[in-house]
Amino acid sequence: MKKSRKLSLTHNTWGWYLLLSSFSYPSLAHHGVAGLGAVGLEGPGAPLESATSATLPAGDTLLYLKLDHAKYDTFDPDPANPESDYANYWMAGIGYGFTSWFSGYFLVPYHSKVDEPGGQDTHGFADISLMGQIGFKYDDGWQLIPENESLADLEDWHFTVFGGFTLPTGDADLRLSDGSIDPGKSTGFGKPAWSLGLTATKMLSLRWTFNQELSTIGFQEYTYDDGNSTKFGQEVRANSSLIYRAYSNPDKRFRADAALEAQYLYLGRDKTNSIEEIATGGDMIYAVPGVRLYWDNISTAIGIKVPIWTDLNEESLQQGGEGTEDYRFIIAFSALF
Amino acid sequence: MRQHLLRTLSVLLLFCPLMALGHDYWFETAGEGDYLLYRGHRFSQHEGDKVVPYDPNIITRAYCLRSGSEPPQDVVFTRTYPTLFTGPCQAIVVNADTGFWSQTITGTKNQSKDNLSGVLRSWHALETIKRVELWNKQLLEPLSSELELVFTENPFALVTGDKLRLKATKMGQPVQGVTVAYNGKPRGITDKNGRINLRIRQTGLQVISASYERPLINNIKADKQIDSTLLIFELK
Repeated sequence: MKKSRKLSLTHNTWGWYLLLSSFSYPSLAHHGVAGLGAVGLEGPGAPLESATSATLPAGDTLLYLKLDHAKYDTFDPDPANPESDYANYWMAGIGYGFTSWFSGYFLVPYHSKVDEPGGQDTHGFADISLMGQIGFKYDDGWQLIPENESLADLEDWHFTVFGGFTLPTGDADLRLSDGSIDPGKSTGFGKPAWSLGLTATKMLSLRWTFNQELSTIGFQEYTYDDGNSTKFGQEVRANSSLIYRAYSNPDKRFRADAALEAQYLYLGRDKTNSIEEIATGGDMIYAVPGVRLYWDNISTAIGIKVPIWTDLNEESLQQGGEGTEDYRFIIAFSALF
Repeated sequence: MRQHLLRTLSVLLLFCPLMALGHDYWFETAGEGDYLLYRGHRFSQHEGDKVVPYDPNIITRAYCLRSGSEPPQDVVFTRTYPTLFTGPCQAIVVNADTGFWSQTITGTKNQSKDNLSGVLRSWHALETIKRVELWNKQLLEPLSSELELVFTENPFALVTGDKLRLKATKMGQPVQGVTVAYNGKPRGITDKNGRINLRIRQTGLQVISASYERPLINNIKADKQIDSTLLIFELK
């Protein structure tokens, strides 16, 4: 039987670079420089899913909502052996710019994991997470992200380090309809997981932006109500993105970017009762083409995530986890206030 | 636009558009290093008469930085149109007070709001034009007391792609919140130290404009004051 694995924390979801609210908007005067409404339309682009080097403006609040719909390849046509069909990973979040260089995020996920007919579905709120992000840059020396940056400054290399942890608010011991516990279908990890990452972002030209994320997530061993213990394998990501500013309309404060991400993901083997599980873990690369639209203080990202290369452990036995998707559809909304 | 600008510059020796959206101001050389200040539509994107004479009385003061460590001197200028400023200068700064402006439903008029009816908004416009020919360490300080963009380093050592680091001052003090444009495009606002960084996009004429506004409380003539400034220099 093919093994399904828990899906990763969609941790890298706060990447956001909507600059429209980073500047004031002096009114257009008969005398004087035109207002700055257009400035945000010319800043660096943001990837669709990867973390980026943008910190929130000091005092600003970000609201965030994302859906990651994962449709899995299925292999067994026998209706007596239902496989994982799809999963919807919702994420709602709020971020706040405590300073120009430090942002905090509070994220609440909701997961639906749906099998083919006859299978055992699970739904519920998953583990909430708290994240912090510190931004810094190089401009004649290293410095924290200053309160005020011009478009010329935004062309500099920008970096962030981020880290966070989850709280076990989800139901790790969620019982399936047959009374069993499948850690891969639970809506919680039982114990806090941690994450740590680094991002780098650079405007390559007035239209092109490069973004890089390196990050990892670690898990703790948790003993379930049925007496079994599981420790999910560590995750390592290396996500590279190119963003192209395709269209902007200053009058309507609208901007459209095209983005392409190449996401490398390493998953360590899970361990059950301290024994390495077969058919878990592996390496994979996703391609994520999509668009990001900005309008006023709202941003929408839409993309399709497709595994283009996989080297999974005992690959023929894996189903319903990372690397075995037919596709993932991603849509995210964010607004800055 | 850039090509259009360069073509224009090939004709005009010293082309200094002030950022006024209604009219441009620019210098042309006259005689042996003297300057003539014109107004019209040479740079702005909207159409209008090529030359629009102004009242020479709008010029309130002008300074010339001549050479070495000699402090900037008041420049003798005529009260005629076009106003003639005696040069040559390593840098010249002209302060102008174009008076009160009011926007009405029938258009914008160079009058205070108390002399009109149906005024939608009104302002008092103060303007500064600064042309820099050569580097002088005194350019690290403002040459006038009005809104001015000041270099923080020698700009003539910069090449395309380098950052141009400027400071906005008025009465010798840094000004925060000044909107700054490079070649007519807003690039950002000054920080609490009056600082802003731009990026050199091309050689040739560099046109940097800036402005900020502040409300005039209980003022019968205008709702606000708009200070505007222009910095212009040329990179080989």
